Formats: sequence, C-alpha cells, structure tokens
Amino acid sequence: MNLEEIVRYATIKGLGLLGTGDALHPIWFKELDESLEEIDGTGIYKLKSFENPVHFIFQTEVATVHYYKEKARRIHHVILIPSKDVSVQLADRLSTYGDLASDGRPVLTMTPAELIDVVLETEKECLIFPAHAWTPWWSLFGSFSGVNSLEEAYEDRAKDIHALETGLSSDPPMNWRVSSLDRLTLISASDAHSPYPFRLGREAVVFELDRLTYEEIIDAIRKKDGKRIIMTVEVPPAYGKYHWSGHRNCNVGPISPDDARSMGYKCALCGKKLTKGVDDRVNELADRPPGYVPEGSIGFRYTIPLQELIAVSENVDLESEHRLTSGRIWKEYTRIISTLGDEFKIMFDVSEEELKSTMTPQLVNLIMAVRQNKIKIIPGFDGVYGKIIFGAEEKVEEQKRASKRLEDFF
Amino acid sequence: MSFRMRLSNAEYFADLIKAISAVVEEGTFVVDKDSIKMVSMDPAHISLVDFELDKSAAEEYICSEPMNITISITELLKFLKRGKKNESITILYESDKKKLTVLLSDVTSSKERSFTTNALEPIVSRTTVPNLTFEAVARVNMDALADAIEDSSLVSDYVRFTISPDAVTLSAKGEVGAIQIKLSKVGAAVYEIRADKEVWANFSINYVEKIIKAAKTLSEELTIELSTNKPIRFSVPIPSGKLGYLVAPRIETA
Repeated sequence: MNLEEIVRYATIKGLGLLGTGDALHPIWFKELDESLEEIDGTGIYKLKSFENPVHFIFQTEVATVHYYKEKARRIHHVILIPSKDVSVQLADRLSTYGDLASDGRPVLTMTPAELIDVVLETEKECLIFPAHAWTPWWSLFGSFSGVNSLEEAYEDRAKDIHALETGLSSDPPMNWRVSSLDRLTLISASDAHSPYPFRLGREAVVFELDRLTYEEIIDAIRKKDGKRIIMTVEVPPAYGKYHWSGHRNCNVGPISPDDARSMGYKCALCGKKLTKGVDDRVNELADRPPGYVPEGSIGFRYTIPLQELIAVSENVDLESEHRLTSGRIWKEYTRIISTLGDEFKIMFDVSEEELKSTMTPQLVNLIMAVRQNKIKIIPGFDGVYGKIIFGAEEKVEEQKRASKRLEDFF
Repeated sequence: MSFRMRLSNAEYFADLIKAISAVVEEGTFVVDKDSIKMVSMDPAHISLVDFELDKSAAEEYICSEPMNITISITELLKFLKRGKKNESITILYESDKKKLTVLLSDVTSSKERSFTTNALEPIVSRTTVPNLTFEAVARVNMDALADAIEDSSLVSDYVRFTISPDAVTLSAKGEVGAIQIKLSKVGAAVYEIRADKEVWANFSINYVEKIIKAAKTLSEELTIELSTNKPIRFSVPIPSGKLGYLVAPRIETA
C-alpha cells in the first residue's frame, strides 16, 4: 500500500480528505514526509507527484492500556494532528510510552488521561477521540476491556473529548440512545487496512467548509457545527463485524441481544463466552428508547460498498473471503464507475433511471434498497461481517440451525 | 409457609448441589410434602439437570404446603462447601421472608453454624423433563469415563460418544491429532450394554466434562443413554432420589 495507490482508490470512491493513518510510525512517516506537501500552511496536505482532488491531514490511532477497578482496560484513540512537524514532536513525546514502530497501532503504557495530557501539551490543536467506541476489543465501551463512561476512561480530561468515532457496527441512532454522548460530534470513519474501495471510505464525514483547513475541520468538530458538518456516511450497523453476539470458532451466531442474554452469553456449542455484540452494549448503556433523536444531532445516510452489492447481485458466494477482490467484480465495478462517476455519487445522487441504463436490475434494486434503508442483512458477529440477503433469506435459518438447543429435540 | 429438611451428612448434600451447579448457576427447587425437585437448563439450553431427593433421605422433613424456592446455586454452594462430613445440615426456608438458611450442626462439639441468603425472584418459565427414547444404553464406571473425557479434551472441544453392542467408545479429532478410547463390554469399566446397533453423537466436552466431574463424587457408576445425533442422557444413581442430565448434540450442518 502506498499513497499514490490510496489516492487513486479514494478518487474512485469519491473521497476528498483522508487521514494519513499511522503518522507516528517511522517508516510510514518517512513515506508521508517524502510524498506529501502542505497547501499554504493550512495543515492540509496533497501528493507532490501529481495533481488530484484527494487531500490528507496527519492522523494516527494509538492504544492505551490502563487498570481501572482491577481490570485492564484497552482502548484505541484517534489523534488528528495539525502538521507534519507536530507529528514529529508527538512521536518524540510518545515514544517513551511504547514502541511506535510496532505493527498495527502503537500500544502505549499510559492512561487515556495521560495521553490527552501529553498530546495537548505537545500541541493544543491536536484532537483526540475514542476510536470505534463500541467494538468488543480495544475500545472505550467494548464489552471485553472497555468502560461505561467517558469519565471512567479519560477522568478529568473527559472535557477535552469532543468527538466519538462510532465504528461500523453502530450508527448514529444507536449512539443517540446514550444521553451522555449528546455533546460529542459523532464521527464515522473506516479504519481501513487496505486501500481498495470496498474498505476505504466505508464510512465518512461530509463537511461543507468555506476553506479547507485543519483549523476549520477541528473547529467544526469541537463545536459540533451542523452547518459545517453536513452528515455522516454510514454502513447499516448490521453490516459491521460485531453488531450482534456470537462465537466465530463454533460458527454460532448471529445472536440477537435478547437471545444472547437468555443464553447467559455462553456459546451454545462449546459453552465458552460469546463475543458480546455492539447492539447489546448499546442496550446496556442506553438511557433512552430506540428511535430517540436528540436535539442538535447531525444527520446521516447509509451506504454499502458497491463492490459488495455487485457480488450479491451476481450471486457470488457470500462466504468467500475473496469475493470482493475477484477480477469479475472489479471489472464490473470499474465499468460502472467510468460510466456514472465516483462511488458515492452512484450510491447517493445518480437517478434510478440512470442506474437502470447502466447496470442489472438486481443491482439497481440493491442500491435503491440501501438508499431507502430496506436492505436485509444477516448481522455480523465476532469478527464476521454482516451478510447481505438478496433472494437468500433461507441463510438466516441456516445460521440459526448451527446452534442446537435441547428444545430442538423435544 | 415454611420448609425444613435435615440431612445427617452436610458434605453429601454439598455434593448433590455441586452436581446441580454443573448445569445451572441459579434455579428453582419445587418442594412438596414428598420431595424436593429441580429440573433446569443452562442459559444456552444445551444441558439439563433433573434432580429429585425423596423425603426418606432426610432425618426430618416438614413442608407446610407446596412451594417454589428460587435460589443462586453458586451462592448456596459457597455455604455448603463449609460443611463437614460429621456435621448434619438443616435447610430452612420461610417463604414470607424469602430467606433460606443453612444450618450446619456438629453434635459432638455442640457447634452450630448458620448461613442465610435471600431467595431470588421466581423464574417464570418452568422446565419439564422431555420424554425421549434412546436406542442404546450402557452402564459404565464413572472414573473410566471421566478419564476418557479428559483424554479427549487434549485434542478437541468436542467428543463423539459411540455405543455399539460390544463397546462404549469416545473419540475426538482436532488440529493436533486424534484420540480414541474404547471401553470394551468384556472389560472392568463397562458393567452393561444394551444396544442392537451402533449409535453415536458429538457433544461439547465443556458441558460433558463439567457434569461428569461434578457427579463423580456421588457414585462409582453412570448410565449413558444414546441415539444417533440426539441428546445424551447421563443418570447417576443416588440413594432416595434421582440425578439425571441431558446434553444436546453438536450437529454438523456443512
């Protein structure tokens, strides 16, 4: 993966601004340093090598490990950084707490509050917020090693948290049920580990700014400014890998919150602990009923990677991990993109008539179903992505049959 | 309304409750003038315990009228584990106060200890024992079976029980290897087999192991009833009562 490749796929996707990711990692930073240049002191960077509409801000994700109530709490945080120079300073400060050259996210031996101290001491214009806040592992509210409130993690520095990244398995309406999150700007991002359009930009934030600067972006997030943050782009939460509970090793799941609770969160086959779903955690912390819309909330729209929809429309084996990288899917994807424009435009703006003139009726139906939030998905569980149902409703029953209960024999 | 039951051996009663705890962490005892019973499934509904102790097992047994006592088995067991062989145990329940008292008495040293715990809210749905028929029955030595299960757990989370007319076989297959333990009808570990053909089913070792470990102290023998791809029933003989378990099989769908 390199920056030119990322820019190429981001353009196809319809993205205008990306976080660099891993800005503290020495090898990746070297590539950023060599390949990017700042636009007029804005804190916004672009590729030196060729003109394109994709911009970057320096950004990283880090993990902290701390003990709270005699239990290790492992939490991921996103840090937005105002410039390349600050990135260097931050790497210098944080390198005393962990190995920044490690693969994946650096794990820092410090509390989240200490992290805020160090980051804001280094540069007060940095912005920190919890990453994929609900996923079972390594997250603020995660069922395995998270906590129940911002304050339990960030202590007296919780006031310096202005945003929360919701992760794929939760959407704004789920977060709106927790009143303590009302003051935060809900951020949606992909945490993409590969540059392909079915990973990059699965979720996004749509800004409308007078001028694209780091300062404007941070100010809009800090103020939760609905005039500058138009909406977030979300996958339906059931598509996420941890929406419901389950046990991947035994192929037990997805299990709804009610059923999982009645099973005592134990696997129906091996008896080990189920990986508790995000939907379950939201239910545990919610102080409002489903459907509650708080004042000042920012709107959102659903999308699903177009390559995924093409695979479903062509009945490509849903279980195959390589279905989205197949030549057949890519060929059809690029044909549609070259005819109609970038993926976000296709998912949100292109008229149904135009869609019909370019693609199969099955694919048009799927895109329209996503737009109208009528798409049916077998929820994801324990690291397994949700599966889109298209003329395959029996798959739900098949999943249920995987776990035998005694009543099945009575 | 109240219930009072005294048994001469506190340790034995602890073993009985431990056997129940292999399946449930909380459950409802149904108590009437003749016996105390519990039929309950684990939260995942994979295993079931069917327990009954007749009043003849007790030195004293008074039940003013039928009642249900829902209790945390885990908490009760903590009290019971404090009991000794030479101590008698009295269980007292006052339904108006919803309190259960465990009284441990050592007559020789005139020592009496009491532990009281709150009963839980009654469980609404009641489990009944299903009427299942089985194609094969085997009566085996408990220790031999416990060993076979422990062996199987070395390679897999699942174990296959097979009963054929001449043997009881446990087998397990995993990434690291395979294990087979054959308990032949002619050997000392098998007391009886009734089977016209070979039947088999796979079960989670986790569930089976917990049951056998907990029941091991109560009897040296165990009856296994099995049909192909159906639940397995384990019956442990206990004086003046019954202790049985059902475990659902794992069915390969692929």
